[in-house]
Amino acid sequence: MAVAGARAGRLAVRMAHHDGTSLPGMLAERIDRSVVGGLAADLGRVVIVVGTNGKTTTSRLTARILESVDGAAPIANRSGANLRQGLASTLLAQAASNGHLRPAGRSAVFEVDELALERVIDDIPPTVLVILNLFRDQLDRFGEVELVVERWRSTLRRLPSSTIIVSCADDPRVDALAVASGHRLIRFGLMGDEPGQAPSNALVTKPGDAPEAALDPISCPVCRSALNTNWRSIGHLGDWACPLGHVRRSSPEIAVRAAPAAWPDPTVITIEGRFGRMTARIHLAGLAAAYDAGAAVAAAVALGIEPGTAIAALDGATPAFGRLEEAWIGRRRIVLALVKNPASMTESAEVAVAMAPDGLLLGLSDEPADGRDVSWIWDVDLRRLSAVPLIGLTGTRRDDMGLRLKYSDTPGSPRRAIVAQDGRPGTVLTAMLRAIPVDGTLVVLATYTSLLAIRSILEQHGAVPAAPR
Amino acid sequence: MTRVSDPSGAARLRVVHLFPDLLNVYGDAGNVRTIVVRAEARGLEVDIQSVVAGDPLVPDADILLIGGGQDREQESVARELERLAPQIRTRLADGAALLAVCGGFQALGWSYGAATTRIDGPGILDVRTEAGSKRLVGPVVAQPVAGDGLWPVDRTVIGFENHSGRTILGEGTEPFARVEIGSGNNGDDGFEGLLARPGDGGLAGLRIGTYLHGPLLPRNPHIADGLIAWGLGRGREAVALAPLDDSDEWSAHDRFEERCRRHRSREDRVPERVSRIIDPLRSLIGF
Repeated sequence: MAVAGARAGRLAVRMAHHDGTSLPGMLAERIDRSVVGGLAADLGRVVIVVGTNGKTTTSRLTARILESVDGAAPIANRSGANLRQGLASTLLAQAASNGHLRPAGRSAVFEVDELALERVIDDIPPTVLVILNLFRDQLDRFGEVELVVERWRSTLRRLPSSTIIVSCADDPRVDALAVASGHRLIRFGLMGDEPGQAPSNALVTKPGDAPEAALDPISCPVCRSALNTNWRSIGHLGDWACPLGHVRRSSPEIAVRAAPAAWPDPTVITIEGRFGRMTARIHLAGLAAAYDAGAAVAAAVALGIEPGTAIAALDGATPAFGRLEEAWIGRRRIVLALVKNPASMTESAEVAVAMAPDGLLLGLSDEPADGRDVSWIWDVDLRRLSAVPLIGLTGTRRDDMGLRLKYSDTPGSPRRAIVAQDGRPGTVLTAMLRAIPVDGTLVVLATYTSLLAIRSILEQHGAVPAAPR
Repeated sequence: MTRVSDPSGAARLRVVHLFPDLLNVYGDAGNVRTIVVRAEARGLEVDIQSVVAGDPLVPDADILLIGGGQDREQESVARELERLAPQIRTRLADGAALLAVCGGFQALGWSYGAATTRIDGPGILDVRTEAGSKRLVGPVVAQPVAGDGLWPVDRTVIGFENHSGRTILGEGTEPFARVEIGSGNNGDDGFEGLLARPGDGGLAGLRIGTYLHGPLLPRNPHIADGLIAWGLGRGREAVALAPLDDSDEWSAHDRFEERCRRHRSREDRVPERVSRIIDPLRSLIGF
């Protein structure tokens, strides 16, 4: 009944030409709460991916590995549908009219919102739970990062005992949660070129370094002293230890290194474990790509897949929607990066600068999908971006981004030219493309709805494939 | 007018940022940046120092800034304040101006009721805070209570609040602003923050406590200049500051305020479910 109702709903939604990612699931669950659990029982191995940054890319890479092993693509949700209703819709779309998945036993990869995890795992018990990281993000929704930690802690207690946890060795809060869960654990993390060396592109730090605005204070769970780091990669991720020796980072079973490539050459990812050392070439950039690839391989290993098979499957991987996606218009290259919190924006800015762009289009909006509070832009380190000569601003909160740039300038720093500042993304995009030279690069860093708006313009020009519906 | 000057003759503004290691959620570092940039634009030499956990001294200051943090950090902050509150009080008695945001505002009051415990504070700001069950989250537009040459009263203050604490002002104290849109200190009395004018409570320095993030100062340049002028004037006078071209600041301020008002009037008419569909469409056309 619920399945039939949801199918009718999905059809109606499709006819209305509206994005039907969550509505069918919502309808079905209204009719029958057990529909998700019923369908999930027909699944084979299930990987659930949570974390602030990298969910979509990690899910995509994990699905790529599973597809190469299974010979068919796993069931997977789209990034915009990572709440409970979105998962319900995803499962319903695969259901036959008898209310079962066909064929039974298919693999599934689901990315799940931080706060939705507790409402998902009872009905969709994961074979592997990947915990990527935890950064401050959407504080208007989450309240505080520590509140997310507490909710995850109690959620992990309800996991089936057979669930294997894949977690980031470089994130002390995630590591503490994973260890406390008592589950079998496979860690992934970055490595340097030589044992004991800091990864390339990581920031080598020492105790007593001045605190940085963008960093969450993280303390030892035993003595509450602030943790020290030897190096840091993205935000607080790094090689951490309690100054009094209570806790320290464990060596990851799956260690990853990304060789900084001369963009747009593919990044060479090296992955090391008990199996030895292997490389893959992927069209993803930056330290974030290394983490996501490591997480995907660790998830595959947790599922019993040969590491060599998993790593080989990564070869040639391309970015997900808005994750440093590339487009060309009139011989100008456009790189699209979704930004949503200080960690993701600082990392994207870092990667963007390495592309030596001619122009930078910043899109900042505050619709619910972006997060209503944009205070976080003040926690982003934008100093590296001062080298970009041309700037365009769009989005409902473009004024705030303009002020952020104005107040990041120190006396004597080169004045950037604001080429265009307009709520209509098309106007700004056109002005920017006119201002940059042929074969030049325009980097777009934008929050969700701004990026969607810019991307849909590129879509109309056939410069990028249609956004997933 | 007595001011610390360096040999080149430029006046110096000494800014002390309290506990950036413990209280740094929410872009409050933007308040520090704003003070620095606006002071340097007036030809002032700016000297910034941070006081972090374990530091023994609060240096001499013209402006003290303390930001917001998570509940978990409040206990550490309380421990630090137990040691350093007398020095902070001395700085304020000497005429330093203070801006305390959210967690810092709560921590400098008499007491702070966290979810499970009650933490006593130094009472530098005459407020008490109890734990609330529902978080007060959202944009704020408020009318500042001012006059006396602190800042012009014809402009609102805007920001974004996100707190579970309910703060009550002590008797005889006045709020920083009166809420037009948003919850303010507790969602009941219509007050936002605390204002202690220079000389109030026997302390020479101007003091502002507030729940407004955003951060507060970049888009409320009148408040930023009030802090600089009264900090430099050691609470005895407002030092005259050359006007700056604040068209970007006011444009950001006004557009935000307008959006808040429009959003509120729409909320009164349009159910949340409908606006969830309309909002993304609106952002496509940039309006």
